[in-house]
Amino acid sequence: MDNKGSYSKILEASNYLTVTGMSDFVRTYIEKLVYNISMYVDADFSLGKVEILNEYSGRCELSQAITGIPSAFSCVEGREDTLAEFAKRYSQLEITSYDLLARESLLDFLNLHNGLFVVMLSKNNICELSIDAPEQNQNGNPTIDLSEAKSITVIPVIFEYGTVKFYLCEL
Amino acid sequence: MNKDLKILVCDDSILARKNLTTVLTGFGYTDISEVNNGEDAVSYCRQNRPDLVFLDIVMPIKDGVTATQEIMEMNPDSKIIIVSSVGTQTHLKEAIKAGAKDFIQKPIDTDLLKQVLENING
Repeated sequence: MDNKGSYSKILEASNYLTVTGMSDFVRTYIEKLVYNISMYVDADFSLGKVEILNEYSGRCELSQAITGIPSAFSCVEGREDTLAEFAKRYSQLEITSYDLLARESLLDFLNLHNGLFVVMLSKNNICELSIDAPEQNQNGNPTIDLSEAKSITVIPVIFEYGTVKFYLCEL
Repeated sequence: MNKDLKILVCDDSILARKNLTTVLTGFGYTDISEVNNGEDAVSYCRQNRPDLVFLDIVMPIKDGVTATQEIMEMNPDSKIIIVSSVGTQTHLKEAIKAGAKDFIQKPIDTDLLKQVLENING
């Protein structure tokens, strides 16, 4: 499959450019996310309705902070069987359930994506950011206070096997 | 290339360690150890003096740049290659300043890795 062409079409079909109040930082993050999923996981997907939420009410089990100015908090959620399938396709390992290896693979993807996003911003002389180590929060509470977040964007990624939701919280 | 090198792979990601170890094994290297943070990498290097160390940058407990500095202070002849998804100019400069011999951006390009190994290992 032509991943590059597919990536552009996925973005063109999405509402992300029309969301009121969305920063260029978040838009760029979404574009890079779609590209990285196409490249490293599976090019056969679409974006659900991208929205800015009033508050974050998810489980926040798998997350990673982006540090610097601006800083942000990212996390990934979904049904366990969907996350396991996403992890399987990314890692190309025989993952059959939402186990330790599945969670590690999801964190590895989050780390890869956030790292490549930060590198792209640096190469384009937009800003110099870094990332913290990705985290598993067993109790499901964010490791940082998101009540003061400037924005919380949900990016639903729809595959034939389910929806994986990525969140980006601008701090 | 000398395939009898003692190699340490340090990354907090199980998947990243597995992928790199698999590639190195495919290249013919057999003496490969793994740790998952910079603190353990420094400790391993103190006790085992590996010929080659692969370090991630972003890790809990101790990051790869700090670990590189400490390993280089212990043994200035250490050969350290940073393997990270965060290949910004800032991180690159920090890693090289700390003493790393090279920097590989994740996801690993096996041809590039082979080339880096040839450069370091002759």
